[in-house]
Amino acid sequence: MEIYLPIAEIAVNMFMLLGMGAAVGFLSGMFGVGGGFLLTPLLIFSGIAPAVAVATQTGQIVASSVSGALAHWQRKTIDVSLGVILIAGGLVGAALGVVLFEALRSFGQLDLIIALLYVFFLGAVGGIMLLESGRAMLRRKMGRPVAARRPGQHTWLHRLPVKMRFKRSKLYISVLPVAALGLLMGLLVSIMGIGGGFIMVPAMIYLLRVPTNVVIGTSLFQIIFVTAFAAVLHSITTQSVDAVLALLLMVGGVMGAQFGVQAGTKLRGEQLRLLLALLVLAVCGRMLFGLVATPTDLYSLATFAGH
Amino acid sequence: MRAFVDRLGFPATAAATLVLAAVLAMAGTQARAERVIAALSHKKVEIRSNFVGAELVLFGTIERDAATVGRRSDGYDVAVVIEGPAGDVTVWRKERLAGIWVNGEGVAFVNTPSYYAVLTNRPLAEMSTRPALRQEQIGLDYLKLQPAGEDTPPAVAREFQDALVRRAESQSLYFENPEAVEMLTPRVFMARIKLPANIRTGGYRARVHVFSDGALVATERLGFWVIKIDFEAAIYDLAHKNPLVYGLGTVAMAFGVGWLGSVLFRRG
Repeated sequence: MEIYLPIAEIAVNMFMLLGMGAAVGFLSGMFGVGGGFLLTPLLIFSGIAPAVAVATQTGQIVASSVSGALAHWQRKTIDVSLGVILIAGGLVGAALGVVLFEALRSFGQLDLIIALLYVFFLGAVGGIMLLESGRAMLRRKMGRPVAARRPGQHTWLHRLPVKMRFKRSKLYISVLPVAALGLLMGLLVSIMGIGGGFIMVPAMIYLLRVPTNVVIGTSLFQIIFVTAFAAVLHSITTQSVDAVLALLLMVGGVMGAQFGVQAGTKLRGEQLRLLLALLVLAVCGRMLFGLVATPTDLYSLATFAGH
Repeated sequence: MRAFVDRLGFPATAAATLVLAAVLAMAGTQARAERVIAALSHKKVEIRSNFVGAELVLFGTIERDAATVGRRSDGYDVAVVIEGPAGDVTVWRKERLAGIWVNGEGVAFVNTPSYYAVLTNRPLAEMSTRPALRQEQIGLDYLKLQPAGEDTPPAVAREFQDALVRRAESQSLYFENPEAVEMLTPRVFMARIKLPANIRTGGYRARVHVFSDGALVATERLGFWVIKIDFEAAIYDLAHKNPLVYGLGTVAMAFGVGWLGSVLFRRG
């Protein structure tokens, strides 16, 4: 059944959108990631203007992270004070991101920058995860125990001033790298239409040495507020948030996620990470192909058909 | 006669018959050389959530007075030109830079119609001469677009205009159809106007040109509106007139769906 999207200004099959939301929700539940990095490219591949896809995604991610964060809230695996510092940086980053987004759009380079950022981040994160999970699987095969990464080693990041105690994370570190990480993620939220969990989680574990048990909850907690802020900013400045599109994706996503969580418990950690890495690299490859392949028409229009 | 044609829900064939009857009735009243009288099946195209495009029917009749009777042999030709709301459009040309394709040169055109359709009863080239078609801007080859920059070289402007027309054609927003006008009798015609789902909202202008032996003998101008209504209009208006409320509303909806999801699907 075709449904007309009031902001995207095109008619799209409603069940395709629900299905896309459900499929990505399933994967995000399975792997414990937000799925924005999959859904935004899928929307773009299916003919929705990149500007609308990114802006609408910021709204969709709010729904999926609220679902996830509520579960973590009950398990008390959210470090609220750490989250608040991340959010403070994130709000500034999201605002800068929206300004940058508008500027890039007026120069005709928005689609390119979105694609380049996707290729870079998906390639980097996918590559690292592939190496790491491959190594872990090899070790398991050779019968050696899979050693968990030992926290506690300090880096130069921990010697910066303005230190603060984060009780639930059992950390005493400077707020500067925390806020800077939040700011960077806020930028990416606004420009890429992602929650950024797949970058935030490794960054918190490896750079800030946050204990693994509070990482995902805290990451989801901050994603809610930063993406909500980005969605409101996009509504005001770029006016390309499509509420109907967002609702369809949310409903599909929230349902899919529940089944994904169950499927995820049946796989081992490194198997999950290997699969996720392959998925991330596949999306990266598709994006890269779009940049490198000679287009059928070298010319493109801006402002026709809405945007 | 306008009241009943205003609703899209009205059966198209019944509306068309009534329009035809009205056109024929109006035609009897006045005569001054050739005259063309036309009417549209709808004055308003409404975009709802199930909008996948629309088709309008234009009916017309050609009137002539005693002085022009018997002037010509092989009947009249009709061209219907429809133009959608105009705006600025930028055409970008991709260039290869370090292996990837990036937008390089861009040319902006002002006052460019968002929809441009030329419907005729036979190929344009057989109907009239190039200068006559260019004069009236009938046909994709004769569409005159204005580059925003005064100093754009004509060759560059031509290249980018051709690209614009080609891209718009691929989106079904610009087209020529030499079979869309049907001559019901030598002097009564019907044209089917196809509007795709991705059309802009706003005012549309239709020009009906009648040619005889290659010469333009009569012109009539009409218009119709494409508007979003009900839910679609409410969403669009809120998003543009009150974006803060719209943004907060979207976020509230997201919180609601997220919370509902975690309540409905809570395991154990």
